[in-house]
Amino acid sequence: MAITLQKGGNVSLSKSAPGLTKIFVGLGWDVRATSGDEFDLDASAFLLTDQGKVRNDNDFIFYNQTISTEGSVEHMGDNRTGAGEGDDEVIKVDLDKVPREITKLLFTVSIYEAEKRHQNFGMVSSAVIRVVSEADGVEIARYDLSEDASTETAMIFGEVYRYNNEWKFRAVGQGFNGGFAALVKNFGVNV
Amino acid sequence: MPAILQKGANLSLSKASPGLVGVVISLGWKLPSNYSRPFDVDSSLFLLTQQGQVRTDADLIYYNNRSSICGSVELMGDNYTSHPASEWASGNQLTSPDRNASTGGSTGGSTGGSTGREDLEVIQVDLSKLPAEIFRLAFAITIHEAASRQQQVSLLSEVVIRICNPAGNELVRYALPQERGRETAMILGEIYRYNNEWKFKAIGQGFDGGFAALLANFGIKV
Repeated sequence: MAITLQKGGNVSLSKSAPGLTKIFVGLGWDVRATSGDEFDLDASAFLLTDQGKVRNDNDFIFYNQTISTEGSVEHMGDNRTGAGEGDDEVIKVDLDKVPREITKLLFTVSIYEAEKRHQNFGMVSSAVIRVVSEADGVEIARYDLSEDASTETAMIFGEVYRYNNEWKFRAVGQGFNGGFAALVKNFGVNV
Repeated sequence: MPAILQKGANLSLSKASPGLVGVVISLGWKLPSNYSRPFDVDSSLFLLTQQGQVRTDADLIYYNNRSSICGSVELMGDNYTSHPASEWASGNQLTSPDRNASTGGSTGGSTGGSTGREDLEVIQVDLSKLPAEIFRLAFAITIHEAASRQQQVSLLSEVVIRICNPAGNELVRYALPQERGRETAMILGEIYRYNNEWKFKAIGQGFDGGFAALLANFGIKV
């Protein structure tokens, strides 16, 4: 039974699922049925220090850089149309491998060339992002982008962060004005 | 004041108007001015299951099938020119549509003149009578013989879908932006169930392949 978190709500990964070390973020959406440009949604992750910045550009995991230096975060591949059942993009996280100085993993979803193509999440059918326990497939949280982020083009879905020697997940659900490039810069990545 | 949505946005009708049972949906558009050739625009709506498909062809409501089997949906008539869209200022009372007013041609459409005439088609829905397996109502406009006449939705202006309560108070509105698409069939909006509420979504997406592509999308074989 998945918890549908309110914005700002959080859940302790260690308590809700003791021994949980492997999670993944899944992003799914439907192929566009109507005429026009395809909907190309992208899931990305940022490895952040307690200053809220990346150490360097290698801490930004996305379709062009699919694995972090230590192998703790891995993007399983770009999907440009939403073709296929279930999760169309997956980012796997091994919490045990996350370096000490990284205190937060932040997950985002954005629409590729949203502005040029005049697209937003509300135009996409069945766009959902969720965080799942890899071992048993139990959904920890999900966010319905089509419905609840309808006029956004880029958003911070949630974050996994260290708190008193455990990992917690917080659903952020915050749209980001200025597009994805501005968001990436905001975390100290050079684009 | 009605809510004015942008493309992709949605609104809870149940929250905007608690206890809402009857809704009046109007689809309006303006034909191009100084246009001498025939230009026929038709309205249709689809009763859809959770899979986004019709159950049978009878779930298509259009000029040749004006009401649903369940009796919850009725296309009131076209060529509703006695109340053009521009007179529908927010909050105005909607007079009861005259069901005999339809004098359209064989397609039920409207023919363009030199004045850029406005059209308004009205659909009445009783949400309480909709079968439980119907999750969505999709409202569309199509251009008759679009391919041979080389006409697209983008030639129309002031394409608007409005949702009113039975008293005529407008709850929500979506106006199609003027874009240079090649669509000849356009889904303007959808009313749908979501978490025990009725919601409305501004769609504004369509098909270059016209009515046939629209029908195929919702599972109707032609």
